[in-house]
Amino acid sequence: MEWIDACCVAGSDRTEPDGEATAKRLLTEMERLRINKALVLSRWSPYLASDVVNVQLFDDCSHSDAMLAVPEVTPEGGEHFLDRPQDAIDDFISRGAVAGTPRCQKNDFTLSTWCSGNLLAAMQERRLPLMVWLNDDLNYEQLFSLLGEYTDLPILLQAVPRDGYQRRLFPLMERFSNLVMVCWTRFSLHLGLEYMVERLGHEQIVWGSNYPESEGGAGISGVTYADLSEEAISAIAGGNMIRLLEGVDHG
Amino acid sequence: MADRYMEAGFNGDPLDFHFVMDSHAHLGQHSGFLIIDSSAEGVIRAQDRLGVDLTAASSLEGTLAGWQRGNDVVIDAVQRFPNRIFGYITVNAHDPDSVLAECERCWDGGCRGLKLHTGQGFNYDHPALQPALEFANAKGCPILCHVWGTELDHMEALIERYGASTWILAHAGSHLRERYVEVACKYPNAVLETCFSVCPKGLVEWLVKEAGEDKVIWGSDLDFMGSPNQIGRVLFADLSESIKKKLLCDNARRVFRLDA
Repeated sequence: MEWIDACCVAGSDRTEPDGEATAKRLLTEMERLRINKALVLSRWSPYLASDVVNVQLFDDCSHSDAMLAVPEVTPEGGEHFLDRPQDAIDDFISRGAVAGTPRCQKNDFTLSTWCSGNLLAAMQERRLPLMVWLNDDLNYEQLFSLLGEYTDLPILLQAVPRDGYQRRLFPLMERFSNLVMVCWTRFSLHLGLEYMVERLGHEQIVWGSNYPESEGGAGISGVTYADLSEEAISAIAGGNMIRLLEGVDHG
Repeated sequence: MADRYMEAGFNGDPLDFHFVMDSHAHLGQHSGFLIIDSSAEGVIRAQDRLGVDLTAASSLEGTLAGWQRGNDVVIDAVQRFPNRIFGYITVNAHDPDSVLAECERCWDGGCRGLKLHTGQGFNYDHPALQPALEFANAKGCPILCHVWGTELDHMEALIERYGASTWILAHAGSHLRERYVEVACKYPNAVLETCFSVCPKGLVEWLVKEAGEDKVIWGSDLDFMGSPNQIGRVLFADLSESIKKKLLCDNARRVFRLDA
């Protein structure tokens, strides 16, 4: 069974206290937990401009096939592809990007079509998944609009809390097959994964460790101990993500 | 190198190589979460996947709202599944006159621990709760307390006064982590319980290092959340097999006096 982590943060070293999420430590942790690949977000995101973050991220990920870059995407395409978001997306894909994340609050934009239409169209064109954080990037109403307008754009939804009854999430997943939820350690519901698979199927659920904040083994056991078929567990562990990665159009 | 606990976690195999106890669990529904099958059967179904032999449970309704019918559910579970469910008594601090009688009723029904939660709006040193604490102390039964850091300021005198009971400090390290350790180390009759939804990386190891391997017991907070994630925090922890066994088995046997 292949494990692909859809939620982790790491980046290059600097002089830091022990325990920082460096790329080296991430790879060590992946080896310990038998994680084959990880979608990696930059640990430098809170501090640096998106263009700089992306340069560093691609450099970090270039040293290991197990680290898959998730760069920050912006409506205008960044400094080197100004007002050419399609070219920016093509460039990201050529450098190994497997998804893009907007970081809307930090980068000061909205995913509404009037603001990000060209970017979203470009990502949809290449089937490059958009990784979004619930509440930080958008709310459920905005997600509903996005899913309705970009039906071929895979959307990876992060940070779904266990709070609440998921009375908005589940109908959205039922209605839009391009919505994929990242099941992380904080989304821990008693017999919840079993219920989701029974109601929605297993195709729209992937797994994330929430490294370095959470114990990755807790995420793994959350999947392996679920009362599900081997097929469903394997799909959530990595199979569904492999399908998404294979769907990216490399041009 | 993976040990047998990690191997079980990787494979989703139940821990069948020794007794396993979950020291912190619930039955019933909560106002804020999706809970699928909150019955004793639902809890046992989930715990069977992990290989948990005995689950210490209180009613969520009783814990947070003091509903006596919550205790009825726990009593029923204890009586139907005496080898699988250990019952915690909950009391209604808003009705002080009912507290002692409810403790006695639940004890007669088979419950053998006390669960307190500040969600009822009272600190544990409130006079309304003292009859329950005196009852538990007289019986020598464990007292599980919801703790999110600040409760500890109201607990030290109680831990000392009611010394025949072992005090289980829930959600250890969730907030003001050093305080949990300070209290656990200061009092022989205080232990740390691990459940915490965030599953912070390295926290279980830190608790063991700071408080000692005999001072930490595993709890899941099931059905408030799922138990599979919480047991993974121990299975995959950077700890020896013997310490993992203490967290999952030996320390609970001592605290809950299972060998008495």
